[in-house]
Amino acid sequence: MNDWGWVAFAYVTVYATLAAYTIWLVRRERSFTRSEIDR
Amino acid sequence: MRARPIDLAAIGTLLTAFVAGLVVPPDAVQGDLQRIMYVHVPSAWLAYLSFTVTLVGSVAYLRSRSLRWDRLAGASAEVGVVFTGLALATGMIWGKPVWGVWWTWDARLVLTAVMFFIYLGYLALRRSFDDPELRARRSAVLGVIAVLQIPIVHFSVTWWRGLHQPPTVLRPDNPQIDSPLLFALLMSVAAFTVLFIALVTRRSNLAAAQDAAGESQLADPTAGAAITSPTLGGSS
Amino acid sequence: MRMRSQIRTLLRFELRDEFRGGEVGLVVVPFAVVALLTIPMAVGIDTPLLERIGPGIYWSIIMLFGVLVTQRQSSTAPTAARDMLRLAGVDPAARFAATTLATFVLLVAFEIGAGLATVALYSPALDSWWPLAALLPLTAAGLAMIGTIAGNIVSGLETKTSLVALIVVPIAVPLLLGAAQATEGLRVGAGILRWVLLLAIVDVVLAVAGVLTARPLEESPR
Repeated sequence: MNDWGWVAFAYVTVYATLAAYTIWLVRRERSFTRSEIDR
Repeated sequence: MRARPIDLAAIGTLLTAFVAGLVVPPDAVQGDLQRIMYVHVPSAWLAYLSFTVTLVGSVAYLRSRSLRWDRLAGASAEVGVVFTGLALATGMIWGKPVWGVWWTWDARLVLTAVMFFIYLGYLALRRSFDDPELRARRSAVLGVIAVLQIPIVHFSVTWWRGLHQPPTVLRPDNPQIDSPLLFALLMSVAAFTVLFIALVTRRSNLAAAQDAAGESQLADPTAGAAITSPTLGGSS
Repeated sequence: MRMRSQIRTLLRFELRDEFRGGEVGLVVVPFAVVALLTIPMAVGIDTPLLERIGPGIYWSIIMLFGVLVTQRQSSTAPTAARDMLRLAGVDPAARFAATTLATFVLLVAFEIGAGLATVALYSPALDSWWPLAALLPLTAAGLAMIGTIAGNIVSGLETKTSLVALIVVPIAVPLLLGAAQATEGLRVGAGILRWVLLLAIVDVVLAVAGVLTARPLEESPR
């Protein structure tokens, strides 16, 4: 794998992980507020 | 999802840092591979920052007994474990093409790995408690003790690795770094820090909402739940 | 002095409970010996290699299996006697000291038992064996303190042992490094003072932390 391949590997790992965590966080927030409304 | 100003700031700075990392010239020695530094160094910085915030939150909780501090400590630990994991992963991804092996037993890498598992233990502890007060008290004690150990772990690992001549370690903090590269690096650190703040505040708010919902569930127990068999004292 | 007599009494209770159950001597030590047996089965029985890595493996085993000693049934299981002591208003710092001392004694015994097995199976060659008389107690003290603090942190929880192990082992890394590097120094004839110093510093920090956190942990609502 050439240098740019490794760079891409690192960047994708970082940004994908951060995006996944953010999405997970937002989802939990949402499901929470919705259930609050349903009460 | 409410997009608060801090969220927009995070997105903006991240985009800028991302572009900066790609357009600045390659390093004279390591070539384009060195661009991994723009995600590795910020991740490592945040690993340490979030640990510090967890310590501050733990100490503040023990003094004030205000759950707000405990939630901050917990949120920072959770976001921190993500960044610590990324610091390790990017360190390994950088190391493999440079040194041929995924793991180099470099003192900093080992210390980061130990910190990662300390975080995991702390988070596992927090997950074990239902009662927010109990969780806060026990987590705060672990938070303080764990972070007190970090400098000791740092010295012991550095002494240990200092005995055997280490391969020249990755040098992300090269003092002779040129200004465009330095700009990209600082921009990345700033962007990740803004992201950290955004994520931690969001996570803290979520924890507050969870605690509030938990309490209101306890406030109206079903009939019969109040009747339990007598036990001697508390369990130890 | 009330504190000292409290500690003495509690220490006697703890050790008596353990000798009745015999978990450390009859279960944990044999388990550690089995582990010492399986490692050469896994890595190969190259005798010079085993001589070299034997001490390191020994300390790894002590760190990992020592956690089981700190979380022994006799110390963590609720008993009427222990509840009575808590209700009687025993000083939390005294309880911490007593539990730690009992664990310390048992850990030293454990280290000696596992040590004999290591010598038998790995034949490590040390320049001098006397410094071990300092290394064993220093590591046992540190491990005992971390174990007691961790045990108090998780008390009341259902599944505790694996969580305590996860908490204790990373924090015990300096102890492992200090002991292993010192023993390596004994093997090759290098200086060991800095490692002994490291162990002593860790023990002091842990002792202070243990005493300071004893009361906040005791006050936990149930």
